[in-house]
Amino acid sequence: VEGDQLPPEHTVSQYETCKIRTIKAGTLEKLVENLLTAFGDNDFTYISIFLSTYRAFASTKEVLELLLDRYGNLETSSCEEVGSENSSESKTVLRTAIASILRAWLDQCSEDFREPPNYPCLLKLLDYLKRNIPGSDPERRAQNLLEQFQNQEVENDDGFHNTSPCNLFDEVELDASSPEEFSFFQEDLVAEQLTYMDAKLFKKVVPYHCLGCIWSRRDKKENKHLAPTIRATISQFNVVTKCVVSTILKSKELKTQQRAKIIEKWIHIAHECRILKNFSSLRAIISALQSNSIYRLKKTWACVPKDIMLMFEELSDIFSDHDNYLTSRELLMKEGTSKFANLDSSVKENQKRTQRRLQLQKDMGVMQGTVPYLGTFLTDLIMLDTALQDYIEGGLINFEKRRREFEVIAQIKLLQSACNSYCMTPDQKFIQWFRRQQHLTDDESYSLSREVEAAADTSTTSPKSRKSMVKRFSLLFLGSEVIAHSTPIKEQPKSAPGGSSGESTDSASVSSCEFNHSEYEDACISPTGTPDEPQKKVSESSSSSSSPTHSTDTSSSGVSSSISSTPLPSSNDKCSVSVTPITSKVLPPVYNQQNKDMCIIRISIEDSNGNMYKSILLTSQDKTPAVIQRAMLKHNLESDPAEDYELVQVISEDKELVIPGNANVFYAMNSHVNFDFLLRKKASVNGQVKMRGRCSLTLPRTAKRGCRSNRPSKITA
Amino acid sequence: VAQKAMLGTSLEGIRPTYIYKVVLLGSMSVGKSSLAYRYVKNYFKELLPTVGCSFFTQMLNLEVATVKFEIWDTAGQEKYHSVCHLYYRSAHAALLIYDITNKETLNRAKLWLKDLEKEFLPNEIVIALVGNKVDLAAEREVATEEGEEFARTKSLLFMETSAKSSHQVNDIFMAIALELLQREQEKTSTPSPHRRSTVDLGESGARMGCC
Repeated sequence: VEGDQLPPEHTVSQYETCKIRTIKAGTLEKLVENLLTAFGDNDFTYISIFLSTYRAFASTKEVLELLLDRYGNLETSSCEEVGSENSSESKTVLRTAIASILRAWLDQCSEDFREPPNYPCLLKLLDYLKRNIPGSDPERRAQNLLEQFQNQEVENDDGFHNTSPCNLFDEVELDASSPEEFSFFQEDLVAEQLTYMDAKLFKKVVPYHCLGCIWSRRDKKENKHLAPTIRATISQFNVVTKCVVSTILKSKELKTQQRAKIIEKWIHIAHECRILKNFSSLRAIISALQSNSIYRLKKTWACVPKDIMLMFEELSDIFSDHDNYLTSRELLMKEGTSKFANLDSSVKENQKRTQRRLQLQKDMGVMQGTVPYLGTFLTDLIMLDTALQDYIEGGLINFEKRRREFEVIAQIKLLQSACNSYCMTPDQKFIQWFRRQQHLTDDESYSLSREVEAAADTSTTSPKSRKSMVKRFSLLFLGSEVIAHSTPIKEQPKSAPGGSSGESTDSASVSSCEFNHSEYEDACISPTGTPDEPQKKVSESSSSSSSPTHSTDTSSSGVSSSISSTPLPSSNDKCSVSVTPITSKVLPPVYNQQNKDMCIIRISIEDSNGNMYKSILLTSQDKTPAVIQRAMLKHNLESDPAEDYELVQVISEDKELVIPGNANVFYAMNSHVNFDFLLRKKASVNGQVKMRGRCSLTLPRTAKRGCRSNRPSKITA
Repeated sequence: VAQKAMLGTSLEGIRPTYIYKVVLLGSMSVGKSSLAYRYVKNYFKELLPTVGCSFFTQMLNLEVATVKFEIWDTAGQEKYHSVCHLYYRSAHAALLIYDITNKETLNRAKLWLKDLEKEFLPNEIVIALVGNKVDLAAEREVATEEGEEFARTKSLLFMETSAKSSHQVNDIFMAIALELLQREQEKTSTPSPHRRSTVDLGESGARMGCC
């Protein structure tokens, strides 16, 4: 019967009826008691779930005391508790149950009993077994475990078990006399050695350390030693990453070709890791190659052969974040416990290579384990921990939550046991080399990277910097319009049919009435700044009109190297709680030139003598009515109805272009002639074009004045 | 650049759908996951996925467009150094979350910002600074003005929230949505002749809408 709604107290009675119930919640006492019940019900899953997750809500000591003293007491007349009339028979049943539970505990969660130096729980357990079930299998196991712990304690002076990667190879003597080079090591050997290390650490991971409630406490100072087995796998991961980075960057004198060779080698190693189903080092290598300081080495990457690049892309795709890492999850599930990796590659050469390797493995009868990337599991568990309550009403332990967590824990356990299939031996030369590798910090590797390949020249970045300028100005003008446009927010939840993530209807809406309006205004630049303000700035610097050479080859190296953090002194301080990042290297819009998506135009009114020009910033967003309105404002015509006016570009002395009433002015205008416009009363249209002087000459060309270029001087490494 | 879903672009009058990747950054236990859960909560109560889930989606139906957020949380993985960078690499928006009762977390948020500045150009990503846990105002260590001031100098969106009491959680996501849409509008109305062609290493790039 699923979904038992009875209070948990009632579940005890199920011992007699042998119904299988799913406990949803209960007190610690009842959950422990139910271990015995579950055994009777052949519900071994419950026992596994409990043992794998109880550390989230109780200590080993508490559970042991409850189990042995309260429910498992075979000496007193506690048999009533399990409701049996025949005391000796029930004792036998109880003894079997306890023995089985304890065996499972010792087997599956032996780490629970590692409490040096006195091992109180293990001793208590041993004592119980000696008294109640002497000569039993669990007793032997407990005894062995105790000896094992004590031996390990002697080996490790710090009294802590051997999990850190530095202690991984104590048997290996550091021999400084043979400083091997990276090139010395074959790719398959590197992959195998990394897998050897990873597998060793992964097998040591104590599953309950992964539980969200445990792992999420990791950052508190007093918890430095929390979850050491997980920390060990992570630090190994990070060491691999750093090793990749430092082999590529540390020798400055390397030629680009040589450096590309090292990258190529790492891609091959990653591929070997894939064949070995070592997703941890695979991910470490891939993410190292994708890290800023490596990723940006454009010239170096250009020297990596195409088929190798394809291999790299295929390997990267495994960890594509698409659909919650669906690819890597599926792969893990598919191959987690299979004997061999199953690789499909679209690259023929890679395919052949893979086949050769796999055939070799099969011929040698080698079985493969799997090392997962643990991070995904950790996140899943933290999410579960966040989503589900520890306790439900009445303070009952929410066991349903533990069930959910166990689904993840069980996967980890399964992979751990599959890991035993690996049979690899450490290679001392490699391990020495690996341990000697320099570990650069992010900043160090970044600056090394800049020495290797200086920042791309600024031309590659200028299109983007102009964009940010556009942003800045268009916001000033359009902020209100755009915002007004998108409010009020409609509350129209719509569910996505078949979407893999399945948004539910009721969650999809954000109610507009909840929306805090003052907050809202903070969040957008108010258009109060008069157009004059940016315009002034514009004219001061508008002569930096050297047309930026646009490079179609804007690569990532350009991207990562072009950051300038100096903010432009902001003219609109009071609104800058807001949205627009401001940089010092914005390229201002100029008169007579359409820079990307903005420019300055000048508008006169027909009836004036033609000298009364007003400059207006035009963005690619601007429709005719808005431009007309702005021009009218400038010419103090705001009292007139805007509909009476039209906008005309003066092409030449005898030619003009009437901008259609609802056009996008930026695109409608002729950009090959002066950006001079006329604001004209519609009634006055008579087809006759008036003669006009070259007005631009009569105006001070503000552009000439402020020659200050806002473009940054080339950023050098 | 968000991928506009294929549906809806060709037919006039149908609102476009934009898919945005939003990453949550911040120290341990500042409430990153809780904030995400609060935001998409109902969905989670009703329908817990079989496996845990490190990302959430949330739809916002606005007048001008439908916005679909993919909210990513690095929860528990921030110690995998290089992986974190990859988390936010292709993001459209980032929430830098700190805990108003813990000054250190604001400093950490500032470091995240530095990381983001390395990775993105100023206009490439919408960044919001979020001071979470305002329900614990009694234990406040970071004044509202302090967060506000920092956000102002760095031109970030800023809000104080409480995932617990739900204070301004929707609002901050809404502000992000509006900002992203606005940028989208500017982009689409500007068919740039020299659109940036980035060499995408290891990025899955195109993600198509499914709604």
